[in-house]
Amino acid sequence: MIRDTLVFLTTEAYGARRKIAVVLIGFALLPSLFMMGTVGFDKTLPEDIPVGIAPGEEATTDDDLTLTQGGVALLGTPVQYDTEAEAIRGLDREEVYLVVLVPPDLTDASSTAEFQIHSHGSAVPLNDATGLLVSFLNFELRSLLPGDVEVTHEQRGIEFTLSEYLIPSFITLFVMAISLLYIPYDIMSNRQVIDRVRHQSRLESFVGAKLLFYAGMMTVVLAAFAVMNHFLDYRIHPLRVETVTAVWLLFLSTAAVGTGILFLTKMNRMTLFINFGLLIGVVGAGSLLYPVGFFSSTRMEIARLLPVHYLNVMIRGHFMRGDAFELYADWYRLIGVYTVCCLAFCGGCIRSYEWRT
Amino acid sequence: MLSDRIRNRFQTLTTTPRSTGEYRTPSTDPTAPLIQLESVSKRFGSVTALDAVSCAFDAETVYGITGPNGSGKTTLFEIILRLRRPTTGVVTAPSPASIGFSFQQPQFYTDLTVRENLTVFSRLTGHVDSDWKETLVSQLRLDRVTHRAADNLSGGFQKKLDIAIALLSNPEVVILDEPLSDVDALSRDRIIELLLAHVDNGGTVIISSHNHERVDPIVDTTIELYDGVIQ
Repeated sequence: MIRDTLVFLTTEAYGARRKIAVVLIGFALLPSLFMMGTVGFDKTLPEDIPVGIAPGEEATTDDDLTLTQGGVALLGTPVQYDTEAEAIRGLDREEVYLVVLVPPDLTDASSTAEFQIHSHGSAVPLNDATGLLVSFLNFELRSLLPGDVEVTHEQRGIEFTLSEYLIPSFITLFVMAISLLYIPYDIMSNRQVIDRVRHQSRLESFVGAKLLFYAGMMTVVLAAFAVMNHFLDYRIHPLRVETVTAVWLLFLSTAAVGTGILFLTKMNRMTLFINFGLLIGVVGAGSLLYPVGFFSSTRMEIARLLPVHYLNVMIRGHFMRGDAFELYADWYRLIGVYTVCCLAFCGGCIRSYEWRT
Repeated sequence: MLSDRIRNRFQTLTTTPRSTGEYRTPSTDPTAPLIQLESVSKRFGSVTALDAVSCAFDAETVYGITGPNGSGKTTLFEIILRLRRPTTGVVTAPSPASIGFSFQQPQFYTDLTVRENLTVFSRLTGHVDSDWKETLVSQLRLDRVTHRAADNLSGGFQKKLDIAIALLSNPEVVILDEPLSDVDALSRDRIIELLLAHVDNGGTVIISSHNHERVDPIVDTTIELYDGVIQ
């Protein structure tokens, strides 16, 4: 038995020698990427979440805002807004997770400074911490300012459960896994027919049909969520036009990149490893489950460089808060351009594949 | 060794010349050949699959390309079909839509049934007479398996389905790689009948085989390839 095991080990070694690229990527690069994905995790109590600061009244001066920033800096990363409306819009779009409305005359020791803090009920991972953060802010501002301080907290929207919060994040992960792993696998399993497709049609049409078919399937997934939503009495909106649009954009852009890589590697099985690494990297760096800045400001900066982060926020906004397109109009424009670029990348990779074979 | 593999890969990348081969459409002159290859070469890294091959194919003729495995038959076909670009040389050939083909490895959707495959490729071709499709099905004795998934067919049926797909659009030229292997004697006769009828109707048939005896009875002209060179 031991002898046989050694023989089989030798066979594995021979096999690994022939598949050296796959072995290197699967057993060296992927673990490295996973390790890289953990960069910046330190504490579980949110310390670097973005906190919006805006004047609460017309009389609030820049000095009042600057003073408040000093108190907020210990709690999170202060983001200054010119008006209350802009700050609340930022809160609704998850640009910030708390908004502090600053009263005037903070340096006047004889008056009471009445701060208002707004949070959103859809930021579920922060819900329990919000009370703590408000108390902490209260304490910080009292120690910083000469007069009395009064802090009131107001929550926007309904308070969702963790289960409801996790559904849009799951959708994002699911769509990305299908786009980066299953779609390339499915195209690879049609490999034997590729030459006939190239001869009788165009690979772009073949790939386009696949992307459209599976985009349709994403709607089926959302419909399944809608059915379950009905039975479980969740308060999410899986089948709104806005939700479907955001999910389609995430699917099309990610699947185009995954498929492009497939053709770039001449339909090599290695693609699945590369795309798996990409999936882990984006999930790790994109702060898809926790609010950005929950772990560190570095991770917040990284997440905000990734279009997937914005798509995730849009999907969560449509899903949970029932947000309209208008709230994300500027992001939609950029994501539209990004999706076109991803499709162009895929088209370029297909052309390159045809040229190289 | 890994270093050897990397060195070989590097050599392949650095020694593969840029493709300068070009394609031309056939002239309208009725006496001009339908397909013509002029000094066509194809190199894969340091391996030369075709070396300065020149040949011509006329209408209403059955051509046989013979040669041992690895002699360059499939590469020649892929170049005519524009699936691979020649490294050097000039290829004059009709548009891909005018050429039907069947390679050694059947090329269809394995998870679809025979009928679904014929429907899909009929639709892709765009102009298939449904009577002709049924003729192909019965002539190639596929009628018994039309509702079976292509993946579950025997090698012979898969070959016949692939040939049916090649002939679906009644193309000007039919290129078949080893069409008579893996099929029973009756099916072989039926395939030959179809090919000869195609030539009688003005078409051109180019078939390959590593076995002279298999194709000699039906070909008008034989081209023999050895190590990428016409003998």
